[in-house]
Amino acid sequence: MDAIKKFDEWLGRVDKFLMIVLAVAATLTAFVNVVARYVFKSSLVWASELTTYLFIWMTFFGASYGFEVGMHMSFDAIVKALPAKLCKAVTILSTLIVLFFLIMLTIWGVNLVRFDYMTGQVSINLRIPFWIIYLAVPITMATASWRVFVKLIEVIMTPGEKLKMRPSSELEGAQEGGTAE
Amino acid sequence: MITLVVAGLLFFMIAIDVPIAVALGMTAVVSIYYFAGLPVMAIAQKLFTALDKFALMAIPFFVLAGAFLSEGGTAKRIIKFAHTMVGHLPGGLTMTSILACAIFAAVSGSGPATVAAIGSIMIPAIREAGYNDTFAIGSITTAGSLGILIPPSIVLIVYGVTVDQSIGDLFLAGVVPGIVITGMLMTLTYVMARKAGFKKQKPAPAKEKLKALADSFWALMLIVIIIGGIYSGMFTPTEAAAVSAVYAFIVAKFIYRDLEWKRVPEVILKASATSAMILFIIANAMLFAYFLTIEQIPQYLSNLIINAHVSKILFLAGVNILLIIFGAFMEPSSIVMVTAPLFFPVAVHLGVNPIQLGIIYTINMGLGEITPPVGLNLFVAMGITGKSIEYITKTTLPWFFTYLVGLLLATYIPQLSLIIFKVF
Repeated sequence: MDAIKKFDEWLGRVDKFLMIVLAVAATLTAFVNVVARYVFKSSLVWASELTTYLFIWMTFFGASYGFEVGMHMSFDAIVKALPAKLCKAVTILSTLIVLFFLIMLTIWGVNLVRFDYMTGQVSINLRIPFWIIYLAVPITMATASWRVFVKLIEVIMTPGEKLKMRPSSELEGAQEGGTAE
Repeated sequence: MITLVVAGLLFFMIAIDVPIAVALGMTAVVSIYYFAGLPVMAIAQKLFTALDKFALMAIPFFVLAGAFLSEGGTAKRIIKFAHTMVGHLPGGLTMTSILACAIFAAVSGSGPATVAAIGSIMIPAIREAGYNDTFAIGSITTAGSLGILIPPSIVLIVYGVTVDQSIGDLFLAGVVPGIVITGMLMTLTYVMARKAGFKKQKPAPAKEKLKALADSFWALMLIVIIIGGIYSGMFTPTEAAAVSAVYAFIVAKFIYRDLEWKRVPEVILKASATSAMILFIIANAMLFAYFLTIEQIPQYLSNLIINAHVSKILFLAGVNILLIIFGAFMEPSSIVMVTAPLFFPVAVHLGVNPIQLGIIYTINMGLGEITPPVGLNLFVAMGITGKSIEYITKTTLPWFFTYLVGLLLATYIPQLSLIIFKVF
């Protein structure tokens, strides 16, 4: 269990680092492009493409990290009002649905990367191969699957009464929990 | 029939605590596989390319700008400025908060961010001054919804991208309704404060007003950059958003100097997490909308409504009721992505201005943010005060109904949204 915890902590740190770096890079790219256009009278054709891809990567890494800290918005009022045993059963069901979805996306993501690796297509302006750009999908969906799998085990091991007491995954609380070191 | 099964599946998953993003994506996957019989292989790519639109990237930039401004003393300076303007009137502190929310809304594109920035300072202050919680909590929770009506606005960006309308025009159209609703909320404060026996005080001297204005000048300049920059054609909305983010950082870090270096990564991380959550919902909502399109459900539904010869008034009333109901359960951007393609063709057929429809959407989404069980502003107010959702909802009631009147005005008086185009 300790090894798993260590691994998750490390994973969280990598994700947080990437979220910050990608956001800063995207902001600087877009800003420099505006400056280039007005000050140096020449705009960078690839700037908006790069900004967009950087933010999409940030979204995928952030989404995976979100499963770790319960950041994704959900509606838990009904589940919490259920009797303890039913609450546990339903929570297991909903966690399984999420896990299934993420595993399927991981598999499709791997296929997507393999397909684009074979065709060797490159993006319009940046000329980066698409298989590299799409790598974010299988990587982040795999880490997200792992996180939800760990959560599933936790849910199975927690008694129903305690599940009902869990704090809601509402935006603010989760954010603060998410950024606290 | 398919429509009902799909809607049932979606609501079942939302009801059992599946995150809204996954519920949308999973419904789309199941539907594409079983009903449309299309290969599911392409879904991973669709999820990625759903976000591949430069216009959408205005969202993370505006979230980042808002995060820098919420962090430092910017909110405090805006509040101080608002206080010198309206603080002396009956219910002055509440009026100050509403005006500050409106000003903060003009630099941030989100409701919850506005409630967090203004509410965390003003809710305790108003309570301390002896007002009840309707004045303290309800007012700010509701006025926070101005965050998405007064430009910039995340909801308007999503609407513009979904139905292919100019985001700049949508931003401009939100200005007048935003000011009108702000005025209505402040009038309500005045009436309720008079009734509760609060008296007028001496207004702040002109010198103090000027000083507060000068003090918040750099924050107010952001409004000029956003609106002015977009309208003069200097920036696209996304570029204006990027410039805002850098500008907000410079103001917080080097001009107001209340952002320490070691806090910077934390602020960026928080903004990134918020943006990632919103954009992940949008990507999945697009998957869902993609399924609706290949099944031609929008055409089917709009033909149904058009053939029923519904009048414009009735149609808009129906749209409002549905949006308020959806707004109570879902997150704003996903509602826009899923329903706008359904309502838009009918609205255009009936002669509703597409820009005005965007404003109607945004006011509805604002109401959705203060309606339980899923209301982001309520959650933030809950975080600040520690009170229950039920209690906070009760304190918002008079404000909620005022906002609702604002919705009716914007729905049936198109000029409210469109008059600004006569000026510019």
